[in-house]
Amino acid sequence: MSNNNLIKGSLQTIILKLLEENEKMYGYEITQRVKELTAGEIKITEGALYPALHKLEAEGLLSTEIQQVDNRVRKYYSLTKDGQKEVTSKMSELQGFVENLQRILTPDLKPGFNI
Amino acid sequence: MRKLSAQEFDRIHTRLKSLYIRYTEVYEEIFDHYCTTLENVSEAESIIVLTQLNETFAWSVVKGMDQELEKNVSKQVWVAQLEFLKFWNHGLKGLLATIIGFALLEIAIFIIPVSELILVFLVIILITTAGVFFMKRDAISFRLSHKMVSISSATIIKRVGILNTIFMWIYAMPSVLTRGEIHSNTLFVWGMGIVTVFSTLYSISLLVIASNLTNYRTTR
Repeated sequence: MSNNNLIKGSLQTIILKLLEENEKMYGYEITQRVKELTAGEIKITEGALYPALHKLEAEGLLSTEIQQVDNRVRKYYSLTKDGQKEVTSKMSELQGFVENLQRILTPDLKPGFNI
Repeated sequence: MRKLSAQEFDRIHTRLKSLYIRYTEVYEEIFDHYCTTLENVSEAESIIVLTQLNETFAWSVVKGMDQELEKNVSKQVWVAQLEFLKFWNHGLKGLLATIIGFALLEIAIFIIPVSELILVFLVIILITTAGVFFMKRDAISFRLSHKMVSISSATIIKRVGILNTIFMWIYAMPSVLTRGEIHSNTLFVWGMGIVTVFSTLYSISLLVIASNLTNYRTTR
């Protein structure tokens, strides 16, 4: 399914939400978790994922921890306090957008409809 | 999950080296991604998956990652630097250090003849710069071949380099234009004194922040 443009705008929210549910995650783990949750329908491109993670880190929403795994290092990301606050606001922002989109796509839908 | 063979590690390193990745942090993150992906597939599928990974981490993608990291770390360091320079946020210690700094500057201006003071300031700036460059020498390379560097070291060297180039112009231009006569001008010397304090504080703040950033990024 080619939905890269649709995912692009909500990538940060997806990352924040996943990290809210999991204490810490690394890049590969995030891509696999999204694939697993959407039965392979959504695939996050690594070229978009890593810059998004670095941006969230620079904004102070994520903190990082480096761990030695076998013969290499692995960078784990987790939510900061600011990040935890941001998840709620980003989630309601996205949910509001999806609801409005739904209204446009199906005008017959009742105004109080929730996804 | 299986263990990768030495040959597979070699293939990954060869591929990543061919991409001329600028920052160690990007290299390590992509390397871990390659290894984890390959560990989760059978040896028979390894070559196909490796080819897919090479397409995923194409030249343009990796260059984009380098640039994005540079932009993000630069922003992060800048915000932290501004916070660091707010001496009133460091409590009594910060306040004392600032008072002592300015007191020393004022004493120097009264004790040392104005014309010689400029030299003192230049020496302070040069020592600070040399110290910063020595501590972050891993980001300096005189070789023509590619060298991967740490993002925090590269950020410091770049900023200290820019700062001192500006400083040298501030010092050199009036000196050349007045053939050195400006060195005995009290106002110019005061200005240079303030520039010196600012430049030293700026270099120290960069060192402290980037060292924290490095430690933070490499906590194992």
